[in-house]
Amino acid sequence: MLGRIPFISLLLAIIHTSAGLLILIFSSWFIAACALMPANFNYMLPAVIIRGLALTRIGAGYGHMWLAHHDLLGRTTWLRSQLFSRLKDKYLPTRAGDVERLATQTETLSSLWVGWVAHQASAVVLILLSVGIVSSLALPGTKTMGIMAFSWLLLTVWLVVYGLRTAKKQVQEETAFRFCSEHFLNSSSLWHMQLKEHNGRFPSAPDLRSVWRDHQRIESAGQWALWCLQGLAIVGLLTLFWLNKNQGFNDPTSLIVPMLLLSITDWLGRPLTTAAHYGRYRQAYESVNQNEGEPLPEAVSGEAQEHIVLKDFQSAYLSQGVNVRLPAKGLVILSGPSGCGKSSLLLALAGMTQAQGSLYFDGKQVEAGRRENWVYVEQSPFVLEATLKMNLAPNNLKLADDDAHQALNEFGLAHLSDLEMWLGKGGRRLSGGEGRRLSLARAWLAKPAVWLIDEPFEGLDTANVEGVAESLVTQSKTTLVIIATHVLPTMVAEKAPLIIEM
Amino acid sequence: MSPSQTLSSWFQQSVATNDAASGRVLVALTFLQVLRDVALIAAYWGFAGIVSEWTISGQSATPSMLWLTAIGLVLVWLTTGFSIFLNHRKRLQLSGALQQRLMDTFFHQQHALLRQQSTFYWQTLWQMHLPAIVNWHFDYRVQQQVAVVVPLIALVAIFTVNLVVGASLLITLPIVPLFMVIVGKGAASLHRKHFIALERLGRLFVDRVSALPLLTVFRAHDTQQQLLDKAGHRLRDRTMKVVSIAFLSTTILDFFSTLAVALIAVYIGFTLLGEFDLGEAINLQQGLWLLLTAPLLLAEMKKLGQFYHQKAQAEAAREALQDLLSEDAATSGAKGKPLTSLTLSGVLTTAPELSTSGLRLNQGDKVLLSGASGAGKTVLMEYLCGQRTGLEAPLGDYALLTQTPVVLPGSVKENLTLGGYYSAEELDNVLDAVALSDWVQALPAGINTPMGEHPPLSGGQGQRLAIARVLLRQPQVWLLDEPTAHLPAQQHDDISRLIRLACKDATVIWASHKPLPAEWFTQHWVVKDGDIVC
Repeated sequence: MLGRIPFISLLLAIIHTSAGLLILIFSSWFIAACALMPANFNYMLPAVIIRGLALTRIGAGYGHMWLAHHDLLGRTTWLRSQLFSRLKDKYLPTRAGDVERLATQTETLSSLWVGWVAHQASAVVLILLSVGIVSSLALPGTKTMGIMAFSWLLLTVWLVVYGLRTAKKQVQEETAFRFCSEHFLNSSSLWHMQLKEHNGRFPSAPDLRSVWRDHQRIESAGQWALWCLQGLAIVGLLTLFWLNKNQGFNDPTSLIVPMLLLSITDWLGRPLTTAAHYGRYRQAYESVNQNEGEPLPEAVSGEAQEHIVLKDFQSAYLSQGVNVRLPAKGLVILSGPSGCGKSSLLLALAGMTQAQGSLYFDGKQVEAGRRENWVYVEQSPFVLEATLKMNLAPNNLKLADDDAHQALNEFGLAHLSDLEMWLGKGGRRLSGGEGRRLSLARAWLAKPAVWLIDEPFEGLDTANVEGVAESLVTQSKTTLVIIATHVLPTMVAEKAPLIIEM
Repeated sequence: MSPSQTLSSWFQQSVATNDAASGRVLVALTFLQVLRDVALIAAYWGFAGIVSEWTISGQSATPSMLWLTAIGLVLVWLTTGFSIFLNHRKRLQLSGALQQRLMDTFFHQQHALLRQQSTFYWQTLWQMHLPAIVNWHFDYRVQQQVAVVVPLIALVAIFTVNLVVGASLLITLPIVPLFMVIVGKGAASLHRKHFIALERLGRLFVDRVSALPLLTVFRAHDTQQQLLDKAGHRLRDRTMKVVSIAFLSTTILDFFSTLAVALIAVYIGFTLLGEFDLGEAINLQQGLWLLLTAPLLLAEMKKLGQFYHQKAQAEAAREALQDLLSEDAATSGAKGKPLTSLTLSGVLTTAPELSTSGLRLNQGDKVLLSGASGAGKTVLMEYLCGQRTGLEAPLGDYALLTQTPVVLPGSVKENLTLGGYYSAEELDNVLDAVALSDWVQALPAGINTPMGEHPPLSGGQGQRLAIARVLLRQPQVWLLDEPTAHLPAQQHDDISRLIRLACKDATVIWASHKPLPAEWFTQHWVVKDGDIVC
């Protein structure tokens, strides 16, 4: 799930921070060495090294920034692609904003490397490097550095554990808030009565303060940890100065440990303040991975030649099944008030929801499921954020322009002549009626044997109802057209041999 | 709000009123950070002194230098701790205060405001935009001050120690404001481009995931997946080309601060060796101190660059919040009062505008309100009950019934009482009156059955429950906003008769598209393009 490790970008991040620390330590050593001026001190080489380190730092910084952003964008695409392919032929039960949240979480997850691993890896390298150098030179303060390294390790482990726990709690509280606020915001038309019952106060209004407090806790844990380490470094530094009577005198290397302690917030600051963020990445990882969706019924094959019989057939989620015999070609109307199960029956027939009861083609029992030539047209039409052409044939990038125009023409959309027109989010550029007719044109292009259409006439004006009705009646001469509707245009009513009251 | 208003002045004028975000906290936080840096500069002097005594004179630290270092560093530590503490405490306080403001605005404008946007919109506003303002206020604004003050102090200190280094840094000082602009602009454009890229990628992903059923029906999943991948990579390549330049602004600052250290080190080293002589004597203590202090000139500015995304987020938040956080939005409404008679004329409310040449509403009136959808029927009702500004003494005791009944996830009983106290008899009576008694009895736990996420009610039953809820309260005025709009003809007749019976003693304003008997009403108002005619 985490994918390829961005080695080069990590390496550059480590070089960038290491060079920053080295340049400070090396420069101070250089100055001290110059002041002491041993007889054969070669000052040119260190001067070159200092400048070299400066350039290395700058170059590595730029390189890291570039590669990390490159990686971030690519990784986001990759993570989403993985998720998207897992969702193939699945049903994703969502609440308002869930999909948007999924998009944000993949983004968070892909910044794990640049936002967390790079910092922690730099810290490990810097700690090893400094402890290694200090102890191999047996400099004054080696023990102090050992204590600092150990404290850093303890603090980091604590931060990660604390971050994991707090982030989990925060996510739970956020979920509770979303649930609570959704009902709260949806019931705004009741507030005037609710407020009156409680003298102008709202007893159970959603509250984000605990979520914010936990968020703050994760942030401040890192800052307080750094503060503790800084305090420890100050104590270490002062002790070193206080106790040291003659060890390391007249030796420029003896200032390395004091310099490391003095600048500890510079080189361990970012790693410590970000360590507790691990919990957030973990939570993002879990919620991206948990989203498996629910599988839809299997794809099945087989077509009816003569008739289709439904026995106690309905969506598995409704109690009462439907018994009816349908022709293999013709027009069938499902009518009845909203909530009577028309849409569920269409969904069950289309294999877009689990079904109960049995289905017979020409007297032979067949499985319910998704059938290649059956097309379901939903009540609130989907319009993809794409071109008109892509919307007409989302599975076929090579749709011929003539076919597209013909389909548009068939459903009174001839005025949409620019096939490359960008339809925008949710088909913003189209009216509600145009969106509905577009979804019918899309179905027409798929050349189905069976049409399952939910409320095709809603939101259309009289002229368009006539037009759509005529097209569907024409289709019903060669195919089976099942329409669920609570308004019945006279023309359809006259042509439909079978009207099922539900 | 004028579009040219800056983020800060917007914040001061419409958010930071009445001590919600005290300016003193901002000053205190800035002061603490500046004090920390000053203490750090002092501690550096002591530190450099001790190190130079160690290495050059081969002596232990002198008490004066030791004390200077100790006091300096302890002060640094204490100010750091105190500013973390203060920052976090005040941050939570402000978050809480802003949430309260938002709630006040919600409860003042109620459905008139909330119905304008989706639930997701309001959740985002609440969850993302409020904290964005708080973060910007406490991090970015403080850092902005610190980034100006600290370099100046450091420069003055450097000048007193070494004229040459001071002068060379002074020459670069005019570049400092330039850096601020470069870093600011660079970070802004970087953030914007990166954000736009991510936003586009995210939007496409969200769009296709939301359309999963469509992709399944048309077997378009694989095609769309390939398209998503291709779009992602194309966008990445294009974005990287643009941001490569933007990264340079950050790199420039890094370049100067790194190079400054390197060059100062080399200069000091060579002066100590006697290779350079620019007329300014230098010793190790001064040299080391200069090396430590010089980075402070740019360090705070680099930090400001890190906070830059907060400014962008706060700008977005201001865009969405506009004046929802101002106190006017929350408290301008007058207390409602009982209706005896109400005379209206002239322009009633603006945005959208509603006017009349003269209307009179008396206690006990039954008014039929008609007009095309969008003409202003709903606006008139919202105006009358004070959810929109304009009416000095809005209706006090009213109940509003909307097109779509709201059923809360709690029990039937909770849906009726809304947390208030009503006797079992009162509840039975109203359920009887709306013919829901049988339905309630058939529920598994009767009146205590929870309604849950998907209430087991049809549209008509939901509206009956909503009527029962109003009936229970016996309000003085009933505002009916097309309560039967989504119901079939038969149910429209039934429910209309039910409503008429339920509100026979009250004052009623009834907006309806569908036909209602004229003899039910004492007045007929018609709204057309925001104008009400009697």
